[in-house]
Amino acid sequence: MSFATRLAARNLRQRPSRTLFSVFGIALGIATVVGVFTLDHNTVLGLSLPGLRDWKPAIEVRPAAGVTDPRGELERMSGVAGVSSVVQNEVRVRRQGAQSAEAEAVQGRLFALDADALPELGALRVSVGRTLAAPALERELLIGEALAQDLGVAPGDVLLLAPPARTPATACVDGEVRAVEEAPAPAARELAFTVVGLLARENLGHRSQGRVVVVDSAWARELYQGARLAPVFWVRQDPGVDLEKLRASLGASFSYELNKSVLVGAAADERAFRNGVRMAGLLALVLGLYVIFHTLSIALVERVREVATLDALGATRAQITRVFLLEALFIAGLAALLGFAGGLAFARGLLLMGVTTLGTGHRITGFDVPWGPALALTAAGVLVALLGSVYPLLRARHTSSAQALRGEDGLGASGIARGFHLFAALLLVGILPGLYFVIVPVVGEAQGELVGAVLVGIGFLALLVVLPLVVPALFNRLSGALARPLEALWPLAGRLAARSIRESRTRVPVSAAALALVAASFVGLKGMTHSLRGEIEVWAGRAIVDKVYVRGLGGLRYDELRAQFARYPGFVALESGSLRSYVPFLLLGLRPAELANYGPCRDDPQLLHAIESGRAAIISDRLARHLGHAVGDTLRIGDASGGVRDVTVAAVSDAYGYFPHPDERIYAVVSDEFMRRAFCLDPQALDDAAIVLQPGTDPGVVLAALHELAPQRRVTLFEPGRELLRVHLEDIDRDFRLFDLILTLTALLAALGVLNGQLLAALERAKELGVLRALGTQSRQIAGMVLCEALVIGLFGGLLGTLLGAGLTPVLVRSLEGLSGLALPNVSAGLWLVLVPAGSVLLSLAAALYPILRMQRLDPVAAVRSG
Amino acid sequence: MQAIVEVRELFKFHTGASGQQAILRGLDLCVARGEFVCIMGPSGSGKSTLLHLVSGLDQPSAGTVELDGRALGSLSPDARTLQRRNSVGYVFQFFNLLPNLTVLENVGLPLAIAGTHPEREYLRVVALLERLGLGGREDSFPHQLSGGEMQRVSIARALIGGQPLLLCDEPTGNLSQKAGLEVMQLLRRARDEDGRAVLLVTHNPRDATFADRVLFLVDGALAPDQELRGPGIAVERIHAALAALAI
Repeated sequence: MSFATRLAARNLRQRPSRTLFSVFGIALGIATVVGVFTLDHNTVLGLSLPGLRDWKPAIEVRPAAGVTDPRGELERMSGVAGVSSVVQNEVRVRRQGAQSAEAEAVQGRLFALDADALPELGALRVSVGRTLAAPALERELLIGEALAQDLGVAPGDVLLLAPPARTPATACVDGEVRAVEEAPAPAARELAFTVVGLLARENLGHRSQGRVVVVDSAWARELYQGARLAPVFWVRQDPGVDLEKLRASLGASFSYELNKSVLVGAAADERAFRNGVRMAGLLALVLGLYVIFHTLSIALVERVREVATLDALGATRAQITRVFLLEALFIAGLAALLGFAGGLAFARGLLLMGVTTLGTGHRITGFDVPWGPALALTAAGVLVALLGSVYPLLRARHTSSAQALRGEDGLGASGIARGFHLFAALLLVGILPGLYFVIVPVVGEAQGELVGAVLVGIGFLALLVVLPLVVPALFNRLSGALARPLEALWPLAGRLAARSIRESRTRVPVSAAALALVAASFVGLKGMTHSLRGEIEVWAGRAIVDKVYVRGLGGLRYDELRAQFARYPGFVALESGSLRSYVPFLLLGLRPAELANYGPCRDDPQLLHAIESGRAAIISDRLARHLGHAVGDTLRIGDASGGVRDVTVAAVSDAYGYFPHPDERIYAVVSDEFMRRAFCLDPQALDDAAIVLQPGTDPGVVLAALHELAPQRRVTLFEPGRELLRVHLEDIDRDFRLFDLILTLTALLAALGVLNGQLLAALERAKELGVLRALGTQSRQIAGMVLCEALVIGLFGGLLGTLLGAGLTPVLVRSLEGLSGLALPNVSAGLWLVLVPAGSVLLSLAAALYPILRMQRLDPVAAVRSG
Repeated sequence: MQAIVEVRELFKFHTGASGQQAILRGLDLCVARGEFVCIMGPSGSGKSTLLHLVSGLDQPSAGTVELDGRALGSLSPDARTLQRRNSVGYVFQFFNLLPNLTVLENVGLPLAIAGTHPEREYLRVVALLERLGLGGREDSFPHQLSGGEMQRVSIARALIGGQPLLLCDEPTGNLSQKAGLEVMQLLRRARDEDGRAVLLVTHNPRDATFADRVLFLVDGALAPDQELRGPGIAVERIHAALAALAI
């Protein structure tokens, strides 16, 4: 074993607590960030998987009347990565040369797509053979595995396709279901197609259990002659463009339907949540490394004499460098292993508890390891840790060994401490976030609000990492001021603590800054959570608190039910939840006469009249924000007959139309008559309803009324609005528990920083402590000194962090508002403004316990004898 | 006899709060191979600085230093380190043992630095420890030793590499009378039995009595008329010289 290896190994073994805490600090930081990223990866994967069983495109659009070149317009739209026209229908398939058409034909599902768009669309994969040629000069098809097996065909064979026997087509026309007038159906004709490829059993090849055929759209028109083929297009979203932006572009000329299982995590509020979790992970990594860098800088000052001795004994700079490098490599390497494994275990554990980066309560089975990014994150943490640990050595090489051997400040302790921390700040605030956001990109488009939010986060990091370096005197003075009362209370312990704080150039400010970083994050997060709760409360006050939601009313008629409720005191109105369609947002039909009893329609006859006319809609606040609609805008609504109807936005209000199933706040309300005419829905049919009551009315009257009307009926759901509000508020608290968990881990790292700092201070001051003991100072007095110092660090860090966090909260809230489209009120973090500084003090005091134990084990005799 | 150390017109300035101060002013010194030279002077007279310059740990402001026939000024830092490794064994006032290494490992450190596996020299190291009265303490750590024992370990470390020159910076400064005497006897034996040259700086007249030649450092230069030659210089002569120089 070489001299450097031997010395490095011995140094690590002989300083077990320092080695352990250094490894733990880096490992915890890496584990948190790897865990967060792995959790997010599995969240999106797990919630998307159900949708893959029966594959659908991300977005299906229908052009409005008057759009002459829908495909061209879609292709030019920002956010569209691929587009194809699509016709799908049943088809009968048999082999050419079969004896009888009926005997050997099998049923399948036909998809006619634009062959030239197949590569961009990503809808299928060919496992054997080739894809369809473009342009489609010959009749070619792709066939699903199961269908190919049923027919016993392979590429090169010829199949005959024919449309199935057709029932007369019907459509909803102005509220009536009518047979569609069309030319007499011609005799079904078979067309021959050559099999050019087999579809892999995924995406489109998985539809209809693999009994699919895909042909070019040109042949669909020939095959289904006489049938009405409404133009439909499938769109693949460009992931680099926000979904909201694409929706806004589409809304002008198209109606669309989103496949939510494909677009998991892509909605604005989901993106905000996921990006927030990612930022929290970055914070943990930065703090873990910050703590270690601090430890390294103090350790260097302690080891200057060792470096000088080795130099005096003839060790070259390369040899001395190798010793430090080997120690750093060992610590970083072990931390990487533990951090990586720990991160995966952390993510797995959270998933098993139902915690995801899209809230809690989701059950995700399976676990996928994102090897590439997880290893890259680990490597980034290790690289920065190594860079930081090598820097002190580079500085030490330029110090005067002669001065160090004489016991002078050959290192220029204050100079190197400042220089080192500035270097560390550059690594932590510049290089590490840069690396991080390359490995873990922000979710969604890098639009102004998101970039601004990220920059604010990094600026905040910079403030707390750099401030103790730039103005250490200020920090020391402030903490010295906090320590002054302690001198009066405890003459010896307080005085010693105060002096130690004043003399410590970076140790106290850095420890306090680490605590402040966590404190500010907690306060900012709680402020943001309170703001979200405030938003829910404001919305609930408008939308749900005076309502009772029931479900399972099948068979009861609207007028009958309304008449029954009207007999009970406190009844205001009845909303039907059964008149609904997706156009692509949720559209609900309500009786205008009911709307006149509450909400904006009560006080605005013109609004009511507009709704009654069937040419206007009231949109929810969230719909208005998400799609950028305002009063006077036109909504394009695709109806059941394939047409598009225009309605004007007459008002923006949440007073009408919300139903907890589905829990959807993006919706519009039109008259029930509109729904009847556009979708042939029966306004009397009722399964879901919302009963509007006077404030203060006991929700039990609803059950009483229902029981009287239909004693045998048991509703499947009974939810008073106030109960729903409580559930929503609990959901927020539960969903944000992930942040609480990450910040708690980060708080542990900050406490580790305090512990490390105190431990090193104890070892530095061994001689002083030995003298104190020799002079008769008791153990508890020395413990008191450490606790006083910890109290000041905790108080200073906690107060500073709380102050910064309170200032940060409005910034976070505005960023979230911009990202999510929510109208968030400005509220403070409430009780947390007290709990956080108190928690910071307790954490700091707890972190001081181990150093006190070590100090009490120091041999005072050996301490005073040391040179 | 060829000189192991040759110093000519050595100057060393130090820039402090009150401006530039001369620590050494035009010092000339020659130490022959196998010679035991002691330099005396009060605290702050530049004794330690002289040793740092002779060993190549520090660079002079002016003048030349030749160590074992090589001019240190013309060497690169790494070359100076190698020259120091091959030519000098260092004994410090505060021992400067590495706290995480055992006695055996501390003594074997110069061998390890030179690339030799200490295990191969185990017997030699143990024998040396025995010779210095440290038999049985091979596995002890520095914090388990007395001051005298620590200094003997430091001397053993300086001797194990076989370097021709021992530089000793106040080796008895932190020791008891008895321990200090033992250390000086060891250093004398190193000169007599192993033929090592010794350059020792001290302010203790008793230590100087072990030297072949005693020089006095006053105001950054060696007092030319007060050189005492031994062996066995009486302590009274040393006191008289100190008095004459008003040190």
